[in-house]
Amino acid sequence: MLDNLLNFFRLTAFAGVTWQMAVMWVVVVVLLYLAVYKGFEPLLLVPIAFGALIANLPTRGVVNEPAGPVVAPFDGTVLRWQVQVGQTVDEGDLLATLRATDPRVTGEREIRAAAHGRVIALDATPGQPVLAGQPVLTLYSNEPGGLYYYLYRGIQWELFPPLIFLGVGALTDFGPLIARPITLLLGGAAQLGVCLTFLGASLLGFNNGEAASIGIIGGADGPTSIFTCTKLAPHLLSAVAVAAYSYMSLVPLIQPPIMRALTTPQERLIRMKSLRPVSRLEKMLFALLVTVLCILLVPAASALIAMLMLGNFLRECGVTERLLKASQNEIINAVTNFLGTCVGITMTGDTFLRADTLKILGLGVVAFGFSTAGGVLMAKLMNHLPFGEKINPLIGSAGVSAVPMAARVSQVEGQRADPDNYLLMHAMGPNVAGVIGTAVIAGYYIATLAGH
Amino acid sequence: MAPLPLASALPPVLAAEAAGRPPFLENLSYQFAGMAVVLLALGMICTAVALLGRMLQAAGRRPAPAPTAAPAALDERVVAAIAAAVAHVVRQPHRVVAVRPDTDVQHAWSAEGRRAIYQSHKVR
Repeated sequence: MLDNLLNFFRLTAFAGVTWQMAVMWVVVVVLLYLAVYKGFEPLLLVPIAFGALIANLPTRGVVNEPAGPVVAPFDGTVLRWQVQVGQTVDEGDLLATLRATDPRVTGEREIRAAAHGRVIALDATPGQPVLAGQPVLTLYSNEPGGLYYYLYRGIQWELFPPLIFLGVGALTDFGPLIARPITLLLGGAAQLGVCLTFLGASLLGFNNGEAASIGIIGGADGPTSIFTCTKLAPHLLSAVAVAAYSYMSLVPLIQPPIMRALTTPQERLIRMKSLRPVSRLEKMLFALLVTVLCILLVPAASALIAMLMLGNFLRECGVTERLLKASQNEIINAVTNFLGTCVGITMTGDTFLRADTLKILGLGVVAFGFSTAGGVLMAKLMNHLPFGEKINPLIGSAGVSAVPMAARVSQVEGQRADPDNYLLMHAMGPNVAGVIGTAVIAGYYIATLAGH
Repeated sequence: MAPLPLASALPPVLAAEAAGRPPFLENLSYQFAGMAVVLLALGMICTAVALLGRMLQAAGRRPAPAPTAAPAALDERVVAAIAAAVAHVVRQPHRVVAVRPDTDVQHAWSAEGRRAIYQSHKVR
């Protein structure tokens, strides 16, 4: 009986706990505290934190890869095999060594087994060149991959962010934007933070893909950040997502000082004309227009723009009630849940507990700050033009597309100056324009930086 | 740890060494181009939407959906409820001069209130 007990204890996971895991548990508790008790975007931070907890426990059957073809990670030549056909290998066992064709990559690289299995075929010949992605050997096991191995495809294959955008479009009223189209430019100017943060990140030593992913935090748009980060810097996903969602909830703290510093008391008192009513036809045509124009201009952002506008069209056409309800509720809620946990699953100790994470958290504030400034300054600039109505610069900061929080901040600041000035609906214009603006800049970065 | 360089050729924009850290001025002009692309895209949408709005108005179809229901005679109890609400909000002495039905189909404020109530974490 003692033998049975000892055998069981060998199967428990206590020995698998590392110090990085323990530190991450503390991080998880902090995130959960912020989300649950301080209201920091709980819809995302709770799943992210929980995913991080799962990622930092020695689990079985959650994140494991299934056995299957083992592919070459880059162009190279197999130097020698470390295994034979028929041999059973464990996770982490050395399978082969590879030398890269690229002369800048020196030395030998190891290929290790990602799963327990049996070698059933050696698909390459030592000395012969292989291409990146070409199978070099095949492992077999009847154990499937873990739950999140499969769910993570939603992020890796860029399925979840566009599906969330479907829900966002279904929930968004573009009326205030259509009634005053010039506020589109405020949403565009608020991308200044994205660009300046890219520069800042480059100066801090990040490469282009990483800098773009960090800069996109300034767009204050979760799905777009995740979409971009997965394409350009997947190893930074957890840090970027945590920064993006944390700072979104800090918008009421970050924005007001900047808004006050950049506007004069007279400017803050500007009253704006009531928004004209917008017809259903206009809203439907708007959705189609944006889809066509944006996809033609930045095809790399097609998935995001198309789903955003599909959701919006479902809402505005009025005849697809069931599809609309599903998009606004079941689809977006389920996908948000999976997206959050999948992002959290990437938050292992070794990817998160690095100096880079702190730099990203710092740059995130910079991004939000400059985006706020960009929107406000553009509004001031537009006021100096001889034509067009005067715009209260306080709504410029709503170009930071944390919908509807940034618009509420504009409302509160406007009322601080003049209690009868209701800027909320006027601020919704730039707020939703910012969503489109962020998708466009993301498309620009992906189109120009994605090497494949 | 720098990621392994990709097998394919580097993109033509920002031609720099494999780690992809371009000189500052080149990066700056790249960012300018990015902002230009964004403002161009949104400017195009802005122009198109403004033209659309003007076209629809010129075509004689008013952008406002005409409220077809004639306002029914206002129920006394509704007036009383409105007066009570006003009294609660407006603390100074006041007088309700007129009560008009709301023809703004958008109901922006009630939508905003609904949105605030349905905020995620306040589900009770």
